[in-house]
Amino acid sequence: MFHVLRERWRQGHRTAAYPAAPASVSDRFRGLPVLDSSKCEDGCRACADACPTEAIRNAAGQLQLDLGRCLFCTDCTDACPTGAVRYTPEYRMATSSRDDLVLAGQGLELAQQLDEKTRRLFGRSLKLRQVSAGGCNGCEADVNVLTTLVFDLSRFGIDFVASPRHADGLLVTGPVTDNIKQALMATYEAVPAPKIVIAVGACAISGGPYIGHSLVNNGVDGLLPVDIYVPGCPPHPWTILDGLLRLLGRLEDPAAAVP
Amino acid sequence: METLAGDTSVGHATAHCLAVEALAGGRISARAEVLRGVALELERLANHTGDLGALANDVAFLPTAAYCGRLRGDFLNLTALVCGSRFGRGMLRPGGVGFDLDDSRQAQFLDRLEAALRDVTAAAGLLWESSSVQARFEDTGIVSQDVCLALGMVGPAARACGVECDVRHDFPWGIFRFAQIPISTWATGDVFARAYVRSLEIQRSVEFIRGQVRSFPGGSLRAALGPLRPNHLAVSLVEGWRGEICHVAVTDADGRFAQYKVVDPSFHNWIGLAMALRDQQISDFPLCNKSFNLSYCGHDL
Repeated sequence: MFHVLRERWRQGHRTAAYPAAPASVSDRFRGLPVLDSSKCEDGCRACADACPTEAIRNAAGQLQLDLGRCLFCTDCTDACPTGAVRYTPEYRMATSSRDDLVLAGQGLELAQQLDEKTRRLFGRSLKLRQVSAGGCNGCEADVNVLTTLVFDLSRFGIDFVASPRHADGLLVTGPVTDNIKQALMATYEAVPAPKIVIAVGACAISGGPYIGHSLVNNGVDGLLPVDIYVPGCPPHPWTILDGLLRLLGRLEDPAAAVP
Repeated sequence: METLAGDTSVGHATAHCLAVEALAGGRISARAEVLRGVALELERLANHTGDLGALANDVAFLPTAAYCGRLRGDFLNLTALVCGSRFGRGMLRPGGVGFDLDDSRQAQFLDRLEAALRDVTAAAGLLWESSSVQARFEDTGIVSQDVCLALGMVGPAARACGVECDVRHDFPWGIFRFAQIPISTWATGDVFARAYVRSLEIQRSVEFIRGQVRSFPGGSLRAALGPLRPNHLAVSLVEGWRGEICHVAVTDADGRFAQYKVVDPSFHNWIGLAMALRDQQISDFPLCNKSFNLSYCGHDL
């Protein structure tokens, strides 16, 4: 018993100061990409040809990148001869609409908070049912880690529950394989209204690396009404938490757009 | 390949790279071999630490559960320090590695590694000295050595039955041909053994990484590979944190993949979990399940 107490004292307080202080990520973290079309050479398609998910393309001299498809790998940055594509350590990337995920030279419009009626219901207590719809467990692991003491999700009143009947919404990961589709739809039906849907990761948003595969449904978009999209492969836990708090109007800079 | 099982991104990427390099006939540098080994052992550290925390949680011993939840993240963040991704995405590339652990970040890397080791050793130590934990771990979910061998179990679950099997030792590749990691075993085949083997492996993985980072060889990060040889078959084996990962690639007459088959360690161990549950209380299911921590997505490949 004495050792347990001594270890408790020694391990110290480890919950991050976020959101009062900025979240810390590795300096090599590949967050929000920045596109500089002025560096593109005429007719160059190096990034588009290298991209495994057709997330990036050069449309008449203007680079376009779909964060919903992006795996945040290094294939485009390695292929680009002029450095027109680069990643920043910006982890805030969740959006309210699918179209907002498509970057074409403009800033990224971050997610808006829920409408006032729904926000008043869920703002201080949001119970989510997590559905892994054919995910690789990468997104699932980085969602799960939010419940550890570093992120301490429950201090924001957000918890994961073991039944859709107890939930206010779904947090969906994975490309929605045919085998899980029926279960996903039944789970959604079982959540009492009003309810929200959160799509986490490239797979859930667009199918990710499995886009177009005959046995997947290219994510949850088109099957369920999605309230917030969290891009990444997998998204950093801070990206997911930022999105959740933005949805609930719990951040100081609710209408922020990042350059 | 990195999304075959997200928590084994490095393990599966390693197996894929080995298969591709065998077919292309490439040689990768000593430095890249070391970086691959370091990434693989970091993945093992993160997952073993997470498992110890999850086991503690399942017997309601919350101190270790809380500490290990954080420490798992510390190991993941060490991987991110090297390659930007907590899961090692982008770290391995056919022909070498995508990122270097350059001199400027080695000191920080080692400091953070030692701090995490100190904390995880102490957190695990609480498990072994708490009688309430031991009462739940010992003699729960026993798999005998005979059953283990008959089923062909792999990884820490097999080593916890006293079976000395470890791909790093039996079929060493890359840096493991030169830097051997002793096999960690325990004979009792119960939940305690599966937890304790993980704890031993944490110590040995850190020893390995410490030794490698202090004597980094030179060399380029990535070598260009030629085309895949046509009409060839390559088999690669890697000791992922769950156990043996096997990739088999077959090329056609044009040097493209005609077949590609993956066997995740979860496939070998699932029946082992079923055997561990024989004649157990239903309330011990979560504990036994966590002591194997198998992957659905890996099993279903």
